[in-house]
Amino acid sequence: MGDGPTCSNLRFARWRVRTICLAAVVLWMAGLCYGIGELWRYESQPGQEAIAPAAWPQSPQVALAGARYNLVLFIHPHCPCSRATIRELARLMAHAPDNLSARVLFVSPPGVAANWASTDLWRAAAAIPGVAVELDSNAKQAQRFGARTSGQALLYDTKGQLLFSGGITASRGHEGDNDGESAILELLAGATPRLRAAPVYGCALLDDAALPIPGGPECRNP
Amino acid sequence: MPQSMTSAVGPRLAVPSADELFLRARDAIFRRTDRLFAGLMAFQWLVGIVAALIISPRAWAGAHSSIHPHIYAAVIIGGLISFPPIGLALLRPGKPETRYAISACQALTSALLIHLSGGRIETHFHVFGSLAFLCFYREWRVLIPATVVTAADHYLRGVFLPESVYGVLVPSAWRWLEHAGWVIFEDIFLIASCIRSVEEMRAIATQTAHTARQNAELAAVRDTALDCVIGMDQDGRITDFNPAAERTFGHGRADVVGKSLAELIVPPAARKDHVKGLQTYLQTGHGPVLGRRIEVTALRADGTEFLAEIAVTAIPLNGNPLFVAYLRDITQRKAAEAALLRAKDEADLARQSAEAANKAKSQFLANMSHEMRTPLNGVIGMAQLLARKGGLSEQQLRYAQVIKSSADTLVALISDVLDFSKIEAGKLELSRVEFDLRSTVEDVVEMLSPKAGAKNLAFACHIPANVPAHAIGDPDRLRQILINLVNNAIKFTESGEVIIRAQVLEHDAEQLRMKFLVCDTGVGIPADRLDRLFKSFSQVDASTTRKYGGTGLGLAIARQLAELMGGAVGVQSQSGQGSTFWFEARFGVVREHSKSSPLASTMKGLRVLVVDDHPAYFEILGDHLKSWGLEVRQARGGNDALPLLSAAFESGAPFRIAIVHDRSGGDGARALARSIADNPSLRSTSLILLTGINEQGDIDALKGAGFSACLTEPVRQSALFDALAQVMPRDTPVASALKPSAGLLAPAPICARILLAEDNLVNQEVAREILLDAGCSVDVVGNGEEAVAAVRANAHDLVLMDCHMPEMDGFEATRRIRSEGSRVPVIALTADAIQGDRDRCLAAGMNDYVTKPIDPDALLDAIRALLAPAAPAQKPLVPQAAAPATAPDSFQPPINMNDLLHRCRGKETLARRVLDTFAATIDDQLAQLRDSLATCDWVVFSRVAHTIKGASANLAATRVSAVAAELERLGHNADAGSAAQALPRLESQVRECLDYVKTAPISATASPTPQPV
Repeated sequence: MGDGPTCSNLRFARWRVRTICLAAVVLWMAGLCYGIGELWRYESQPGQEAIAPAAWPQSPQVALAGARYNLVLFIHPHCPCSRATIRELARLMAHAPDNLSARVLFVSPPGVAANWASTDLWRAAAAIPGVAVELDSNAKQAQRFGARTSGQALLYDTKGQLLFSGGITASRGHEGDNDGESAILELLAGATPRLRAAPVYGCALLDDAALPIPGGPECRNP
Repeated sequence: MPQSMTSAVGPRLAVPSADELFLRARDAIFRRTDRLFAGLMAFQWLVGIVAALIISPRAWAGAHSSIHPHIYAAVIIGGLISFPPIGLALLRPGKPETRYAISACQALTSALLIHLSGGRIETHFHVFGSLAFLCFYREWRVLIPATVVTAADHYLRGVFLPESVYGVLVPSAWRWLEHAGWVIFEDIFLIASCIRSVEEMRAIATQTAHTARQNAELAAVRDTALDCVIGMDQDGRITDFNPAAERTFGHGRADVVGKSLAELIVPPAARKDHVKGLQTYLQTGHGPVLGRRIEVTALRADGTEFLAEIAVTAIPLNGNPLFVAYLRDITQRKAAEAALLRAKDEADLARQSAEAANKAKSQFLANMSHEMRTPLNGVIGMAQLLARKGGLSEQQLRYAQVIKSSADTLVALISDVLDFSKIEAGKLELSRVEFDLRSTVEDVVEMLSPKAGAKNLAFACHIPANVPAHAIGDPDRLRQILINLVNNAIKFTESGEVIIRAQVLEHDAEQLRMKFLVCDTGVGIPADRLDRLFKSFSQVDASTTRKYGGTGLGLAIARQLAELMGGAVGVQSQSGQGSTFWFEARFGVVREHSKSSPLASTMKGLRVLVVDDHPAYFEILGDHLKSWGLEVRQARGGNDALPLLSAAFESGAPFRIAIVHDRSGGDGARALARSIADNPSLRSTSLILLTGINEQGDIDALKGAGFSACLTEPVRQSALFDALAQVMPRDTPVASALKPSAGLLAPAPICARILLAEDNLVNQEVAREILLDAGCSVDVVGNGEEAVAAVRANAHDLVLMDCHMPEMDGFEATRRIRSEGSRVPVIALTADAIQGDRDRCLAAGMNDYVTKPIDPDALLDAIRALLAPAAPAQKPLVPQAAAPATAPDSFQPPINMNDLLHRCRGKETLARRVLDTFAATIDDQLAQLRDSLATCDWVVFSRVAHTIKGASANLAATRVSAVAAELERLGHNADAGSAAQALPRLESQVRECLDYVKTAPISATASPTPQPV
């Protein structure tokens, strides 16, 4: 007698093991919830909205197609979140009527190489029928149109009046139905949309140094 | 002995149940699926990281970039999701918490991958794929955590970030439920699949358990079989070798499996045939030894060879045959068979020898019988003739009687031995003839009553009314058994009684089963000796033999005869208390018409007082009387009888008849009769005296005292009936001729010419005398040739032919006679008693068969039977006429002319001739009676009395016949005193008869039509 574990010791040992297991499970679940929460938060964090001019700014590089609606989409060539925007554009173009003139401007900040904008996003955008892809060297057009975040879409009517400003994805890098795309399609159909603005999810088109705009220029980290 | 040989029949593992097998299989599936998911989750984690690196490696702000947050999410969150279940799968495989954790984390992985892929619709397929993967567990509950997590993910995101999952900021509140519904939709099919899968697993487990049990049983049979079980494949290699084979051959299983059977257990000389047989089977599908049990020589490990019995069967297994041989070492059996054959040969020799000895014994017995009976026949016959001739002194006459008595005893002994021999040899055949059952029993009583009377024993038989009068069977053998048992009873009873009782056990249309009991009050038999009684040559003890004599064969013969009659024999006895021997026998049934006795109606209610203090006698007498419709009362003596008679008279219902049993020589009876005669009110009561065989007094004197009739023990039922009819009160209509046993008549003289063929002079003399006495004329020849010539030359009515004669025996002589066309009746005379001789006689053309020493009655009966058409009828050819119903005793004529005429078929001339013959011979016969009485020649006395009895009965002179019968019995008993008293009565009756014959016309008297009984 004496050397063997007593019943109370055994019960204590079992209790301790259970407690540790329970604590581990609780910690695990807490960590998991926190991580997933942060991921959700990042994905749902929109970029800076554009301060777009209400009327089409006259520019020899970007001319207004007078007889049609004009859609201008600003894309950071390396933004992974904008891959979803390009796919949503392709879907939008598939459903849009013929009276839409769409152009994608890949914003090239100052100081980068000439082929910096030649990415898979460029090729994907160029492959969409009816879409004109252009390089916005040194982000001049972005600044002219007030675009701050990759994925910013602006829709002007035939007279150059701004109809919509916002993104065409539901969250960051997330494909699927979204309010911005629905609003554009409604406007193109001549209907009155429920919304005329939507959050834009994507990387910042220019860094803070190049475009000191309050609110942060980059894809937000959670 | 090889090591494996000792462990081959050791304890086996328990056969798992179906539940155990199912749980075991499910646990294996859980563990295997746990490991699968552990690998899958690790792989998914890596894929998530790689996908994040490819899809969103960096986050950009203008020309500047940093690591994309998805990389951190893939590594950290993916790790958090993947590693706990991986750890559980490794540490606690098969446990419920492990698979539930895997299920939940797999759903989380799906959510993470969807996030990392930017919500691509294709990535959503991971959810459905994961659920399908989870079905690998074949447990529908595992789907619950995954489904719940998926539903919760959609619900929470729908609540907090609707646009991230539904693309709109304000989706429907139940949109999450729609998403979860699709998951549940899949779940339904997956759950059904899991349930079905579990059912199949259970079915498989059940089948597997069943198969395992069968295999275990098969293995147990194989392992515990006493015969060798050896398996062999098509290449001749051993596949199985059970423990019995190990023990028999000395090889261990491990040593022989996979090796060539031919080289190990087939002797070198037989290997070629073995290989050839195998090849033949493989080529043709037929094997000469398959399906047969053959004997072969087998080889042990130590090189010795032994004889074995083998049966081989071929089992087709996946197209290739598997041979299974069942082999048994028959060395010992062969040795035993050889020993048995030797023993059988010896037994056959011994049996043949015994049969030869038995045959010789039978022949010896037959020969000895012949050889012994012939001189004994001579001794008996000569002794009879010597006594009959007269002129002997008293001493010489006694010598002659002793000679005859001794010879009779010897003949009886020889008969016993021969009977026993015949029964043992199975050659005794029972006859099946119709016979009078009651008379047969009463004959025995009458025959042995002198013996019983000599010891003053009460001796009677009780035959209840339900015993049929006639039956079909062998009356001689029935009589033999009864005589045997009764003889014994009288022999071993010094005082008291011997009562024979008959009982009907079964009586239907087909058979009659009777039980006969012989009850005595003798010495009894100790219980421990009872089993020896019915064994051959066995008596109660040695002192019995010394004291009472006997061979010890009597009861054994009785037992065997009873068994031949389809019954059994037995005894109940107590030492000092008497014994009851019984036997049962089966008889054929004689269809008898119901016969109503006139007495039944005329005497019904008639009151009879029986004055007898012996309970058995009263019971027997009372039963007889009651069976005829009489009302019976008992008085124990004269003192009791008178008050009863008086009281009955005063009550208006007097006793019409009183039967008084007297054992005091007539004194008590006379006193009672006088008292009755003195009482006017009782005088009308008719009295019948019943005397003991030794107490018979002066009948005439008794009659004068008032007795109307006298009966002597033992009382036949018919005699009682006659006495009743005789004393019937005048006012009672009586059919006095209605006698229950009045069917048989005494023999009549035979007027025939008979040829006696007999070589033995003594036998010639005896037979000639018998025939002459019977009224025949006799021609005597000494051999067969002379017999044939005599038959050819003269017209004989009948031939008595000795079977064994010189020059030409009786068989050949009879054949010659028959071949010459003569149909003269031939009766064989032989001392051989074996059934085979009787068959030979009949085969030779003889008509009947009489054994020696010659029983005059048997011989004459046989002659009468054959000459029946020519001789006076033995049996009445027409119904017996009854006496006038109203004729009282005192008015009855001494000869009943009606009976006589009926017996003579109504021919008055024949009746007259018979009466004349009687009148012509009776004087001589009476003289012979007187002479033989004077010389104490009881043989002659009895015979002459017998003759007179028969002749007078044939004349219907009943009173003469009754007295003659009494004299015959007295002659048998050598009772000179009683005979001397009875003889004058006979002479008186005869004179009365002769007077009547002279005066009475021979014609039928007017009387009511008799009715047979």
